[in-house]
Amino acid sequence: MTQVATLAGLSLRELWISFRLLGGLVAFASGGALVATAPATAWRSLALGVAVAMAVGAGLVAGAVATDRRRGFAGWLVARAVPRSSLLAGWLLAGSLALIVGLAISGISALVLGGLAVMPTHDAALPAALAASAAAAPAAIGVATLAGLVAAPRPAMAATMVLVAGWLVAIVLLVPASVAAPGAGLALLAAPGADAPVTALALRAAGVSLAAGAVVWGAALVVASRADL
Amino acid sequence: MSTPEALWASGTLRHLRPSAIACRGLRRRAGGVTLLDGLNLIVPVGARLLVASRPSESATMLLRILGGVARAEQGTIHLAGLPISDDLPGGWARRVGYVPPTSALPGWMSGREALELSARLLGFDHAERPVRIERAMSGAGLATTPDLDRPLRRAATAHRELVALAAALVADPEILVLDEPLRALDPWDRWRILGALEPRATLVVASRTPAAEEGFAREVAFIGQGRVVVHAPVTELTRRGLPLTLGGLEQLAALGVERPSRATASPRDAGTRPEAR
Repeated sequence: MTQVATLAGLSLRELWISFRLLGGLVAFASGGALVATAPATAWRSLALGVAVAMAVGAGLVAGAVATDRRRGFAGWLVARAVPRSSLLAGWLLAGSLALIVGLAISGISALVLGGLAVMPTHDAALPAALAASAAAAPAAIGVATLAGLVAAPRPAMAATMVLVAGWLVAIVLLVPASVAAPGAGLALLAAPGADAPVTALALRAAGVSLAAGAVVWGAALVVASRADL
Repeated sequence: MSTPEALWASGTLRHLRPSAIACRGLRRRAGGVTLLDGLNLIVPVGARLLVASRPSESATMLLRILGGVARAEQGTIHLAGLPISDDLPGGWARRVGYVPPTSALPGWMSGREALELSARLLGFDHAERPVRIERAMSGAGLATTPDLDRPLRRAATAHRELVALAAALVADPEILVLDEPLRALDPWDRWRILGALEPRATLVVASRTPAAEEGFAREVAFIGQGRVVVHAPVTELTRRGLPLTLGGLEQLAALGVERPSRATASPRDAGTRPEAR
């Protein structure tokens, strides 16, 4: 566990020093600010903003993973007695933390810029929907890691952004919150008061998202065990 | 005196020449090119082996596989008779120190941070780390200068190479795998540092310019078409009046003085050195 925490700290430091983390957090703050631009569709705008911000954040993580691999730093870590599974766990922890902090920033940004007028009628709706949305972070970071393991930095970033944005935007625009689908937390965020009970739906959405994340990470483990680092 | 110390002191190990590395049937393709095609190689404990190849990527790939950063598609590797697996934390990586041809460390990291990180990831406790780092720095000829605390991107290439070597020495590995090591150093410093590495460690060095390793390497293995076609003492070249170059090694292979590893030996035999023809 100490090794994974060290690796996650290294990844976050790398993201921070390369301004990738800052860029991602700005994307999340901007996503939250969308509520102020169109009050009539504030929540849908917020969900779309968050979906795009998550795609940008995941893309930046994919670029960082691919850069670590191409530069040989991932191999350097493996040559320091770091099992490949721990390497993946470090990336998962760092990337998910960055996305979850980004989501919190989006929520705060929405509340500050949209004010109480945009608050849903159900008090728990916003935190529940945000938490359910955050549960999609491991799956998004898993996609980013897979792309980073097989592609060069720029293609990995582009592919991750397209895939994650396509998936999450489709959830916001096409999937009702009552449907159990990976990333359905964002559908709940798009219409937080429309379906009740919000908390139950959020829990179900989080569970499905985490299960999807587990499948993606299983695939990432298989790829990492064979990859050149 | 510990049992291994006593064995070394008595010269028993040098006499028996057990294998440090035994590769059998290694096969690997990359970019549509077959780099290793059923490669067999046995390296005895304490060897100073130079590996050269055509194409040069074959030697690099072999070293990357030995270092654990690349995978062979087929074949087995034994270290001191035991199959390797990176599923054992601290196992392989503590026994093999791999140094890639270019510094893989992030530019924002200082040399001191890199060494500290290396010791921490290798699992040494807080009290043991400074001792390990000090010893590794000494082994790599890395002095405690202000450069050590500067980001590596601002340091000279030679300093980055010494940091990479010191980071590999932190675990005091029994096998050192060096791909084009210390190219940025002047030849005398390079020879002095490589020559002063732990004499009991087995050294495998890959080089695109074999002549640069003259005086350091005692044995040479030449990989052609994915297989070891020459594995002989460096003196074999001298004896035949051939230079220690890729061309010289190819001529040696053509003369049929190959001393290959025993391809048919079972892994149980991995503890012995192949006989010369």
